Amino acid sequence: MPVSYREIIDEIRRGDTSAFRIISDELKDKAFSLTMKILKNKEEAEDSVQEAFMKLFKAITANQFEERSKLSTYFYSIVYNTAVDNYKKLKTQRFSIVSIDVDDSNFEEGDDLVKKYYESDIDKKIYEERHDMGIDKKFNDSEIREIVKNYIDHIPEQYSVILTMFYINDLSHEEISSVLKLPIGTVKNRIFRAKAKLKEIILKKYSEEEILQYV
Amino acid sequence: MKKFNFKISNFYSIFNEMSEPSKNIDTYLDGKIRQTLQSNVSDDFTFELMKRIEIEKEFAKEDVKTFKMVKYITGGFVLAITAFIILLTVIINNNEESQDVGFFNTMLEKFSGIVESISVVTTEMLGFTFDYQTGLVVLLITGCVFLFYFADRIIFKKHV
Repeated sequence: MPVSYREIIDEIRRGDTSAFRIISDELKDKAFSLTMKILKNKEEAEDSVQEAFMKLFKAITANQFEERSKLSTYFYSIVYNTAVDNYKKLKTQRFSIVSIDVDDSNFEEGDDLVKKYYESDIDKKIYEERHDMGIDKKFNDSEIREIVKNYIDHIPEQYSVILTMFYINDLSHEEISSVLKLPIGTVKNRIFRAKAKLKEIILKKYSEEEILQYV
Repeated sequence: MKKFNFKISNFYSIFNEMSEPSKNIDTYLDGKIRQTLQSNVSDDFTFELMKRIEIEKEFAKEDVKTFKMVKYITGGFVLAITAFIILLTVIINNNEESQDVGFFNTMLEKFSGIVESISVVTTEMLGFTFDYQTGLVVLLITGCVFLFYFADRIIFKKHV
């Protein structure tokens, strides 16, 4: 049984398509997580990921994949571009989707990062609770998970896509920069800002010591 | 006066104590972000994908077969035209050297007869003569046009 991507690719090129299953099993959920951040629809995202896998398969069999680059990085680049293409196709049907064009000029000091977050119903409650520090609150892991989920769901795609590439796809700053064609500084800045804002939100609700007691 | 005893480790311990909780919170948040961002595909995803891959493989096989067939047909056609032109040239040359009446000469006479009748028609209609040399040139041009069309439509467009 092949163990490395190199061996798997050789197997596929020799005609053993079942070897492709190993690549699929390893990368499907990670690719899906990234696509979901762009398309935000399970069915559309699955179709898009299937399309990306087909492109990867054709690239391998037609010897278009240059083995100088990492297979996963190459694949995530396909996944991202396919999702963006599908997003653009669907955009004509759904005008309400927020643009995913990468532009930092609209975001200052991370304030707009959470604009939508505070507007959501659940988060209004959290926002109001911030002023209600007199009530004795206990550390609640599931509540923190809920806060993080809401935060991630409401930040602009410019941030959530980069966070997914960094945390789920395990891409380095350089790799993200090359896939998104963005300066490395911008990538680092967005990860830092997104995380700093989340930390700020959580620390308004719980004290650092309180969280650390349960970590 | 008490001598100040400078130890760098004292400073390390101060800084470490300061940075450690923050680092832990970061690690905790990293874990939470990772958990939140993770989404999973449906159970039949791989099954559907492998089905598509198998279909793609079959199509690729068919493409290879078609490509091979097209190559043979094109090659055969080119060979046939070339052989016909060479044969015709040899016959014409032989005919000019010797006046023996044979099968090929009969065929050539028939061909010349057809060409002459076409020539008469074209002279009447278009105003230019049409001899057997013009016939060969027209045949060659037709062959080239056919080859270009064939290659462009079937070979190149399929493999772009």
